[in-house]
Amino acid sequence: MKLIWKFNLLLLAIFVLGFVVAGLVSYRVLQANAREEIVQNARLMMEAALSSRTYTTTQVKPLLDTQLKYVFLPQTVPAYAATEVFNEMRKKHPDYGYKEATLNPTNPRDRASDWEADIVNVFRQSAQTTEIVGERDTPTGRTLYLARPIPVSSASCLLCHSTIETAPKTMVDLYGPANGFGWKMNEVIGAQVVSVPMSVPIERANETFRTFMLSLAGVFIVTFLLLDAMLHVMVIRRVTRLSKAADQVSLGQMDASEFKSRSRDEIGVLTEAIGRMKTSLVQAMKMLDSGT
Amino acid sequence: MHVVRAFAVAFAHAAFLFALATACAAAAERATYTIVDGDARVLRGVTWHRLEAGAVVESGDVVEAAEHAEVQVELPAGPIVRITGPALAHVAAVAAANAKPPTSEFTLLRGWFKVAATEKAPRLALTLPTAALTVADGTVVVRGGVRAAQVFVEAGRANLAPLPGRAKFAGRELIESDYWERADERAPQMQEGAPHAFVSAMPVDLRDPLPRLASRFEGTPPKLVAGRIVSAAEAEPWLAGPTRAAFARRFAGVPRHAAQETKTSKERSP
Repeated sequence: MKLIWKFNLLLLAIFVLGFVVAGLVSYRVLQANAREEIVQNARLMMEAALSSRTYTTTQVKPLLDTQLKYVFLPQTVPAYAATEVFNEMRKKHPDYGYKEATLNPTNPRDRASDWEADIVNVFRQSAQTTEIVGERDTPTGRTLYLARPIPVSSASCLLCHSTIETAPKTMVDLYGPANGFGWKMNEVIGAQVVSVPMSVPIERANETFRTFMLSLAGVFIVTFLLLDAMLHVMVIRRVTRLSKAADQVSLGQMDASEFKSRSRDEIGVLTEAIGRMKTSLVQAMKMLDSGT
Repeated sequence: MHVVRAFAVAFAHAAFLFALATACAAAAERATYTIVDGDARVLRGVTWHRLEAGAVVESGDVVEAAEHAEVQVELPAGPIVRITGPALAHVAAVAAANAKPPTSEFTLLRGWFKVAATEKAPRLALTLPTAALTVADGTVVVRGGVRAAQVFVEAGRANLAPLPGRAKFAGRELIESDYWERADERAPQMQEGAPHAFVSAMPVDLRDPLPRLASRFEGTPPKLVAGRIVSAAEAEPWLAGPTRAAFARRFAGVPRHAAQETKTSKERSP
């Protein structure tokens, strides 16, 4: 097998191995980064929801307290405010979601679905669990959800949700007496659930992966061709010429081409050495001829 | 010499501060129309005047607010009466902050009213078409109509009593969230919470707390522009029912004939 083929085979094996390893590592890193980005987005949304709740409780509700005596304004309810803020956002980004999933809500739209009820029950059973991150398939694609518990942490919550008798009449008039009562202090009554679509960040990660692998393949191919060319020019062609000249000398053609090289590299030195050997051989042959 | 000049400067400062404090105290002690929004006028004597924010409220003022107009009266030491048009009310008496008995009296003939009184301020006595209401410490929304009145206690408490010389009913104290109504001479109806019909008809601005704006009107009050004299038709509601005694003498000189009324209007209108 020719040297060039041995060299190319070895180089190809190294390149393929490097390509596969780099591909695996980069794919995992990119996918992990994409998921982390989604989780960070979800956490940011969760903080925005909490900010909406706090703003409503501390600044909006006090202004509307008097009006609540005439008509119940859901705008004063933190959960309603946070949900409405995200409903506005959903007009431009319909794949994103926010819900205050509650087992026994006043507003029916907050009622927890099956999978949300499972999450709420996990929080109810384990006080140490403060956050759950998971993935689920939806009609619009795979979605990451981030959930945090909603405990009854303030006595003001119980003004509306303990018993029908203590609840504002205007609220009961609006929502009826059937739901949203019987809450107890420190009880987890629901979960804030933020849903973020995974398709966009994952697709972006896949696109980055494809670009990276194509670039890597391009670099490998160019490197392969350059190395082949250099090997041919710097080694194979000179060795072939040297072996051809040595072959002619071995057949007695002492006037064959000169063993000279302008290069001072290893092959140049070898060429010079074979040239000196040829000169010595010619002189030895001449001495033998004059002796006979 | 130097000491004399310093003394003079100190005296001037003290005099200025005293004058300022006196002006503020005077503003706080007078009753003021602090909101006049829309078409509203006041009857003083027998002459109508265009109402302006900052004007001083006088005992005997008859305030008329056209549809969607708003008038707010702030009384000495804090009580507030908001009038939302179309409405007609009479300021029977304005009590000073330290008056005895400490009661400001209003007659609410028709329209929507929101009144607020605090425990330390003079009480508000309101004559409604079918009851007498006293508010000492609370906020109450009142709707007056033709021989009908509706009362909702937004906060605090208020006392209801029958009008003198009218069909009796048991007077009672209303507390926060109590709703009371009475039409004609029928028995009063009462419930907890304002009914939907009452809230739907109520002007939305009355759902908010009443603002205190008297401090904005500490300067010289505006002089109201006089208009025409009151007509017989405008005087007629006051000459019937519980206000007759107060208005009979006041409106004695009001022309009864339509032609005379027109002539007088042309002469007196600006």
